[in-house]
Amino acid sequence: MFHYEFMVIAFIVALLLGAVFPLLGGTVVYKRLSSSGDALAHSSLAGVAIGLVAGLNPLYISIAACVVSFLIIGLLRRKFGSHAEIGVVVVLSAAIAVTGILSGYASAANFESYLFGSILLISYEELYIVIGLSIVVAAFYFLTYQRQLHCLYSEEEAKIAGIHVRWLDFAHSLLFALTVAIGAKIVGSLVVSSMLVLPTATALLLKKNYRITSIASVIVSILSMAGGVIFSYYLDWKPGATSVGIAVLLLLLILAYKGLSLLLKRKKTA
Amino acid sequence: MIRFDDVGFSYDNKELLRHVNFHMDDGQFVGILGPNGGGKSTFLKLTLGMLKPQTGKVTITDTRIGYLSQTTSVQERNLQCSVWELVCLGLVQGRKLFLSKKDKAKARAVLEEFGLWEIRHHLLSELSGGQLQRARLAKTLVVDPTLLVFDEPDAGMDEENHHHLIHVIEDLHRQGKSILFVSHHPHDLESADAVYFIEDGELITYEEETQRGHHHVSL
Repeated sequence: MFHYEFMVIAFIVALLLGAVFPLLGGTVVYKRLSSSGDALAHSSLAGVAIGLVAGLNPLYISIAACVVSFLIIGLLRRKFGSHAEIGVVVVLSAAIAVTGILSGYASAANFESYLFGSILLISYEELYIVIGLSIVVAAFYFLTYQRQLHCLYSEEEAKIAGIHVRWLDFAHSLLFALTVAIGAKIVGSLVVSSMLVLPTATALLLKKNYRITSIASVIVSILSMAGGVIFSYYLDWKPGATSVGIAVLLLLLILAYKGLSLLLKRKKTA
Repeated sequence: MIRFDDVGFSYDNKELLRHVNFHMDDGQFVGILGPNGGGKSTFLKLTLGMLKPQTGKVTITDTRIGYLSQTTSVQERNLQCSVWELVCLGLVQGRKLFLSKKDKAKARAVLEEFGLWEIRHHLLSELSGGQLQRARLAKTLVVDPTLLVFDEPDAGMDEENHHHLIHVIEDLHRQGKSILFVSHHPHDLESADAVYFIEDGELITYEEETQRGHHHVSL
């Protein structure tokens, strides 16, 4: 399959996005804001619809839509306090409304490519965007690793330790919004929010410390994304959907393994 | 040293603290009592630099401040963090990115001191209440703070762990550390050098409070 240039590019992009998704998605899972990925994915779709109707580059408009949505979610989160998830639902609903209304005016073929992604049809421009995004996300993750963990443990204690919690939260959310918008174009907006959550959810089942959980989530994500490209080549399946299918399968396998080992342990002690 | 000079703070048109004057010397053990919503949290946030006073001035000379908040529901949260990772977090002040060998040796020493070295790879969710309390204390003490601020760290703790915590705090005071302890239980502050009461945004000495006779509390 690597005789074809488009497959090589697709594979590289799958590996890069496979690493990027859990590096940002993990924090969102820990903060119990998993649905914000869903809201941003729908916002990216609304951005695509606006771009297609207005005759502007849908990718750039979708990035802008995600960034604006994340800012609105942040504002609403502070407004609603303990009911932070309401902000996510408001943005999700608004995005669905905008997408629904404008989709009637946009070309169906173009629109569908954003629903399910087009990892096999990536332009060089998009490849460079993914490489740039991966470098920035990886740098951000490694440089702020300890500080992010401190904030996840206790924002209050992190603030007292001199960590700029709000700045960190802002930078993370901004990168998260960018990743959702770019990921939506490549693996599909219906798929991206799953890929941001599933690898961390699977890794959490291993019941290991934060570092191992993070590494495991990246491995699960890369396997799923690369598997999606490979299966799409040999079986002609949709790559984005296949990646999510593999991620779900891996989660179920680990769940089954955990259940089985617990059963064996109980039998031994009985 | 902590010093409040005529400090006031309001939020949403509500005066949370008014005309607060307070002084705490190095090495002192000061206790703070008071009902919920009386202004204790605002007082602590001002002490810790999380809030800036709207009137008056707050002066803190300590640079290494250890803070132990109310027992968070770490065990209920799905953050999977080991004891070792938690204690190392205490060393990550500000912009520090990586831990040096010296840092790791410090973390090991404090874990050994609290009897946590053997279970350093355990997740916080796997710890008993007492072990979690010791792990949180180890994280606070790993930077060798000169001032320790405790914000009702005993909330929801069983009696045995509660006694142990008070014993550790008194021991830290004997070692020369400054202690600011916000508590619900007056008897926790038996060895404090001074005890204050915060109610309706006012800070008064414990003696004044008992003279007013609003509360039947005894040390």
